[in-house]
Amino acid sequence: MFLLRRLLWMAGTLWLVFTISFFLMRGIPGGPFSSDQKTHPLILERLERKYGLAEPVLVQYGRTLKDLVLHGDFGPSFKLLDYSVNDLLAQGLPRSLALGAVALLIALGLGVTAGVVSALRRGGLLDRSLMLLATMGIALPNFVIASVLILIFVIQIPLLPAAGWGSYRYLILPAICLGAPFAAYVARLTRTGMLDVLGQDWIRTARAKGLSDRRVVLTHALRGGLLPVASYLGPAVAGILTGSLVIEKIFAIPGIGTYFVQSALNRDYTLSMGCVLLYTALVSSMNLLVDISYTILDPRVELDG
Amino acid sequence: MTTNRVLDVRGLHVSFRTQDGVVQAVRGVDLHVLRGETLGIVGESGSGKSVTQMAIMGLLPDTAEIRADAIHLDGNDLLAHDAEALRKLRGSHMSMIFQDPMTSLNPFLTLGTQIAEMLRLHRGLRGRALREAVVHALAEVQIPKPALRAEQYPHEFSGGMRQRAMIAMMLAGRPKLLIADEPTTALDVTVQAQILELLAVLQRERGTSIVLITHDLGVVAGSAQRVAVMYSGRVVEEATTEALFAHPSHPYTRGLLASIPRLDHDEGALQPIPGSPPDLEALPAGCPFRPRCSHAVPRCSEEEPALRSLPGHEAGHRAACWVDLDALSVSAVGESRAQP
Repeated sequence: MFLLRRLLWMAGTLWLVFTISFFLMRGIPGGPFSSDQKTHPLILERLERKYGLAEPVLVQYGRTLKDLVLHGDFGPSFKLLDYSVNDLLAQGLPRSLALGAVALLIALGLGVTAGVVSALRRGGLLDRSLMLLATMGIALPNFVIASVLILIFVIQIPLLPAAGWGSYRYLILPAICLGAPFAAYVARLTRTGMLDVLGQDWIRTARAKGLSDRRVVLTHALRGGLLPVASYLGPAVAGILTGSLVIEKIFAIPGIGTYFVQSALNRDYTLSMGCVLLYTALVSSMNLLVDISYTILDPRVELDG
Repeated sequence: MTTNRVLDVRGLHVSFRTQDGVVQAVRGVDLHVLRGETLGIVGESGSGKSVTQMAIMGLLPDTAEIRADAIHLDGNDLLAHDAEALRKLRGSHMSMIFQDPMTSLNPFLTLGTQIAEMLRLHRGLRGRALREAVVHALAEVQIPKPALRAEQYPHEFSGGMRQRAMIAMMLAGRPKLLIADEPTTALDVTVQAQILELLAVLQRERGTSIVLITHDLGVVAGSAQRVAVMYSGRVVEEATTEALFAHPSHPYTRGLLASIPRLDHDEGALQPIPGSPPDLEALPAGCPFRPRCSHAVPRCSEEEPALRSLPGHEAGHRAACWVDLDALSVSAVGESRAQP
């Protein structure tokens, strides 16, 4: 019931985003085929007819929506000749997903570990240095981190490729840059969450039972301490997805983010619509997953609404 | 030390370093608990009754400084134990249940899981035997439908049921000593009685010794064989429950008894103890109860009285007071207190 309702909401959101983007894109001056050079009016007319831009806007809207809903077809790219938008997305999505997933793993792995260690060594040197690092991670924009990392690991110590796409080695630097600010934020959230839980009565109970410190932390404290992190996962995933626009550009990764930026600059109506909807779908399904994960973490939470 | 003593504590001091200075929470406490008996510890908030027990359990934070002449638990010298060795005694030799069963159980784990943890750690049970022992433990504390209840989370239990589950959990390691820190304070009166009755039954069956910390003299009267009254970090009177209620020999104990309502005779208005407990960071010289005491003599502000046996009372009845209250009639206590 909960799932059905959420899926309906998601469909509604997608439709709304589709509609707004459709009219916004057509509302801004210029089109896919306007350029600095004067195009012959006849050529322009034929191009517009070929891509269906000659019809009234509402007719275009209806046709695009119908193709999308009935056939899942975004249509041909206006700029990248002979490519359909579906092809481009299918090509770019795995790359962007790989980048995002690794970045998220880095954010969670580093963040949670640092947060737990900080909380257990509260006030100590380790705690303070980790939190200083975390503050830096939050404050520094990722293109700065990217430049520094490239300087170190590509130029000073030539370990990794600077940019492009190929083996997993191409993924390491961009994923670190993308994940770092989120790792920093997750670390702070974990620390606060853990400190809160470690002060609870049931932790004293767990210690009174004679459990080892490790077990007290892992089975009794960690779960509650991670609740703030779980609620941050939704925004974090959205942030990582949008952050990948910049990172893909810096590291020249041919993923959705690169297409997104290109299509917006080129007024490639169909491709940018594809990107917008794909991002919307990703973010809203991630939010749904986060809500479900919350109920797994905390038995007191029930799904409704 | 006789072997009949499950717990024997001598000269226990606990102090906390705070930003404002050193707080002396416990100042030289002697306690012992006999095999199978219930010792009641009575005192108001800040009297050190909980801190004393937490110190024995090794559950105080690092800011606490603990000194003692001796702490023996069932033949183990706790002072010779490091943190790790002490941890191994927790749950298996000594256990503790807490005041608020709402917050003392982990809300994220089923009760079955929380009890299983004890059985696995202290009795080495695994698999099917473990699952059966969990259900058995819940059945022993008279929780209906124990197999079903084991799968549930604390928020699905009522307060009384949670405290039962807590007791089941803390007794699962078959400890010799159970410390119950205000186990019924957060419960309503009928449930209180049931929980105390349950503790008494389990104690009879297993011979567990219980330290019952409370501020409720009624609870002590019904459940404890002996009572220690604590005030500002010290034991000020120690006696069998009967002797304490019949011949209270410290002004503070008398004050406590005069401040509880009684059904059997009409004494008019209840007598509160005037004033408030002393600041543990700045204790007055001499007896800490002196500022609130109506029997104080000059000596009381010079020297702090030690706990000593009382001539003419039964053996083991001890009080820390310079004044012989037996020389004064009980009514004199009321009269003198009526004065401003």
